[in-house]
Amino acid sequence: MRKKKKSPVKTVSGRSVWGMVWFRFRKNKLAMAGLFLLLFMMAAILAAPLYVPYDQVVKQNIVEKFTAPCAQHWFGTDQFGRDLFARIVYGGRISLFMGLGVVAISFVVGCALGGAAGYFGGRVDSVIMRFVDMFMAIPAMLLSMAVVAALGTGVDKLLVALSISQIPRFTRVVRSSIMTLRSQEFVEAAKCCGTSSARIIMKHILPNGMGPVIVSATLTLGQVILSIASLGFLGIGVSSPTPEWGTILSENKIHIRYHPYLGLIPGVCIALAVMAVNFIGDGLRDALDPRTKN
Amino acid sequence: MAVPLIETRHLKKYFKTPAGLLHAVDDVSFKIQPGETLGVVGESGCGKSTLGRTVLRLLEATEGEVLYKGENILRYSKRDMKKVHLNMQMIFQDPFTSLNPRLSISSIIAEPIKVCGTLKDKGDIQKKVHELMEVCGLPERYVNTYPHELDGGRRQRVGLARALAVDPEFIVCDEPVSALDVSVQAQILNLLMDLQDSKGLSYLFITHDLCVVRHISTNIMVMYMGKVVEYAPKDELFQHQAHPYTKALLSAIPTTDLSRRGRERRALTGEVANPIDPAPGCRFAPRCPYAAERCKQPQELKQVAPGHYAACAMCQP
Repeated sequence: MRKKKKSPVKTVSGRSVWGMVWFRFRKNKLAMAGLFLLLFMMAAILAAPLYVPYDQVVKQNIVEKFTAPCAQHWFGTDQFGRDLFARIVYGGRISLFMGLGVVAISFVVGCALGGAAGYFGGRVDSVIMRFVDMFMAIPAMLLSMAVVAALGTGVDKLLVALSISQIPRFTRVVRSSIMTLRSQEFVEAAKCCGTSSARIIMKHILPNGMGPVIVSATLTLGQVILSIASLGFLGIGVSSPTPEWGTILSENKIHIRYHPYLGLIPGVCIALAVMAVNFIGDGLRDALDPRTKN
Repeated sequence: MAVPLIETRHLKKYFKTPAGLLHAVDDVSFKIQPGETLGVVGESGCGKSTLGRTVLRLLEATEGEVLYKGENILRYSKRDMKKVHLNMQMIFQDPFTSLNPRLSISSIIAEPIKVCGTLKDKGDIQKKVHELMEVCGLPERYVNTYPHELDGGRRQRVGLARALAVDPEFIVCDEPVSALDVSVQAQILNLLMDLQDSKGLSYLFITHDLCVVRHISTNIMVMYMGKVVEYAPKDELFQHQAHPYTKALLSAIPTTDLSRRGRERRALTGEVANPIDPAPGCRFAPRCPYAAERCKQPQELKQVAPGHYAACAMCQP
């Protein structure tokens, strides 16, 4: 009886903070499924040259156009007879990695800006928020076009453009969750021993306000993948024949009626990626909160 | 007399509001000798907590001086303040919001040590944390638990351990027991007094509970609307109150003595006046049964007995 009582304490005491987070995360089956799915997709995309030559992505073969999925063309072929599987796998490089990259950049910058605005308040808050509002007033699409027009086209420029258009959203969410926390007594206790503002924000405030921010980050990913597609459609950033999930979807949408797999497959890929990230986000939010049961 | 550990001189803290200046702390002076406790009592909103926070510079004073061992810390730079914070800490009222819910008990207690850099080695810090937990009566098995797993009394012990982590000489206790059950209140108060004996701590003890303040204080300061109305050693205050407000306050203490059942009670009527831009005279006058024309003059603290000061027109020095 006594031994039984003592054992959970022992298992917990040996872990670091991140060990604890991983321990709790692992218990969430959905989150683990999401993590495996995402890792699988990333691995498949990164290892693509090992099993599909890039040649397949652009090689047209009109004779075999609109072939339904079969042993030779796993995902079938499109209107030019290009192998859809190869296009999806190589397209993921842009869609998935750029999507994650945009979310990561805007998350970090949004946390920094929103953190400073929410914590210091007053003039700092006004300056940062008016600046952010300015970006918010311009539609994301127009803003991205403006950035691309200023910097030139290219995948890296697109990354910057999309990140800038997503930063305002994160800044707003972070700021609002921090403003409710900054007057808590544990923040005063931290000030009481001379803790620097940066440490207070990073260690005491942000971790407590992360929940809504993580949820908003996971939702942003799907939106970003679709934005890349619409920008590609406008000829900014990625354009045909370079494959990219959103572009594949939009260039095939006129054939969906007779060849539904052309729309279904890239759509499912986007949905799976977003879903995987959503599950991971939910699991992470719970795992980071010690109040959830171990 | 030796240099007091903490002294304030004409400390003022005004808050700017759209309606005018809110006089939260108005011209408060006191001295605390090493090993002594100054109890601050008053009703809600009289500026007790603001006073405690201003002394620690969690709020910047509008005017006046806070002297630590004779030096005015209000003029200190951030770096110098860090050294002062090693000697001045605070315990908070609400044990449910004063601990960061994301950190384990050991990280909460270790945080001030890490920030101030008094100990560098991880093993030393861990040892110190265990030592502090023992001193504060926290069993070792709580070391890796989180605040939500503990009850109010234990959380308050954690808050105390955190305050003691840098070995301070002076602690501001902002209503440390008012959120706790009565049985737990006594435990925490006794712990505070034991620590005072063993470590020679000084407290600025803020409370609205008169029984608590009598238990723990050396001197008592009564505040009303940001002003000190009476200041006296504990026993002197409980035996000979000079200010009508103090009399009313003390007569409100419930008693279990049946023979005093029918005693006269000076229950106060009316509300606390608006603390925004108050009139220069005695601020208690609108509720005072003895108020007269002379109460419209500003009232200074006058010595009515050795060490006993009161700010009332009726008191003759």
